[in-house]
Amino acid sequence: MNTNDILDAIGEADDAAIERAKRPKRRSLAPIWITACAAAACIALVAAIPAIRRELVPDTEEYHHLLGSYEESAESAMDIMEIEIDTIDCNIWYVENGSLSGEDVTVDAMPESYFQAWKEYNGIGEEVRFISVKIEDNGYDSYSDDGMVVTHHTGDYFSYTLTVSKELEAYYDSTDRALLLESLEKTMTGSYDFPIDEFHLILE
Amino acid sequence: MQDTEIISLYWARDERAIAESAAKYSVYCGSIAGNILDSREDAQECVNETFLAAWNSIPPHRPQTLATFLGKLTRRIAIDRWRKLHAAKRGGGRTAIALEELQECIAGQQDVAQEAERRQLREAVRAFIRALPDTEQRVFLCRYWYMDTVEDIAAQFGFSESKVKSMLHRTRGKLRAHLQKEGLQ
Repeated sequence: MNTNDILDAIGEADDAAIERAKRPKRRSLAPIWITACAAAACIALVAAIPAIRRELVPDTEEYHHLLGSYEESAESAMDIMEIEIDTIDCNIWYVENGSLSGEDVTVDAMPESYFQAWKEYNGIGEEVRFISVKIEDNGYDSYSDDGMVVTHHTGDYFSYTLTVSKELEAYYDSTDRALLLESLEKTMTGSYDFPIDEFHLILE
Repeated sequence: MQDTEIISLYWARDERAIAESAAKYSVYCGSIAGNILDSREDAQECVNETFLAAWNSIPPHRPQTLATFLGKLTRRIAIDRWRKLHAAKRGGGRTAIALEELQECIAGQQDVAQEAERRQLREAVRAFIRALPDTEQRVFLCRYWYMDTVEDIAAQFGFSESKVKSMLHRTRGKLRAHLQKEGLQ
């Protein structure tokens, strides 16, 4: 076997994957409601926004522009800003006949939506609830001189912690537990614009 | 014209199939060939050969996705031509660089490749790519299927070039481990 063989083998990749490779990147935005009635409250919110959005928008010009738009709105009292939820084609993985299958499904670009779709495809009931997602990286925050603007410098190692209700355990016996959990990890982490290096599941 | 209509023309052995395919996919196939070959003339010849190859293979094929069917033909034809042109040379050009990078995925330089092993390798690589997370898969295919430069990929995804390089390096390592696990090296 040589590299030419590998190059030829890559040439035989699935058509859907080849097509998807060139699909324009969708911007995924979570809804954030912001009320601005005092400058101090706005500053606190502006400082908190990177923590919420760091997994969605890396250290780019657009990110700082977005941050700036929140600062501008702080001037008027009771300013309410909503960012519209975008949709995304999420690859939902599920256990079927003892193996994993995947299907592209259009969902709201939010972890709750990915989880809901995963439940539907795996026959998991409504008693299993999504609680939270936390994504952390090995980056760092820097603050402007006046302390009013924080910029997150994205690292290159990402961990993803999903917390769901412990009712999920009841489904372990009815299917292949390892495959079920693998399908959950692949579904939840597959739609991000960066590779997830660690996945943790907490049952609460 | 819709792809299904173009494919029907091929099946009806109506030569308009080639004209319609060319009208719709020349640019797409041309960009694939252009990424692989240094010469614009060579790339254009590969595109022409693509439509001839499509004419000769449809039927019996009835592609699900005409774009990727033609794209795969173009890629194969362009790589074969690149190999003929560079048989005596080493280094230089996008394809040579891509091949050098893929060297990481094999344990040693073994040129003995039998047909059965090639088939096994194709299946193993296909399964590997299929299982990659979405962005990693797309970046990997942009680099090694479409032969895009790291710079182009960074621009497409809004990443830094170093991020693209480190993603590709990690994916190549995973591919190497996967092939070793499959007993293919």
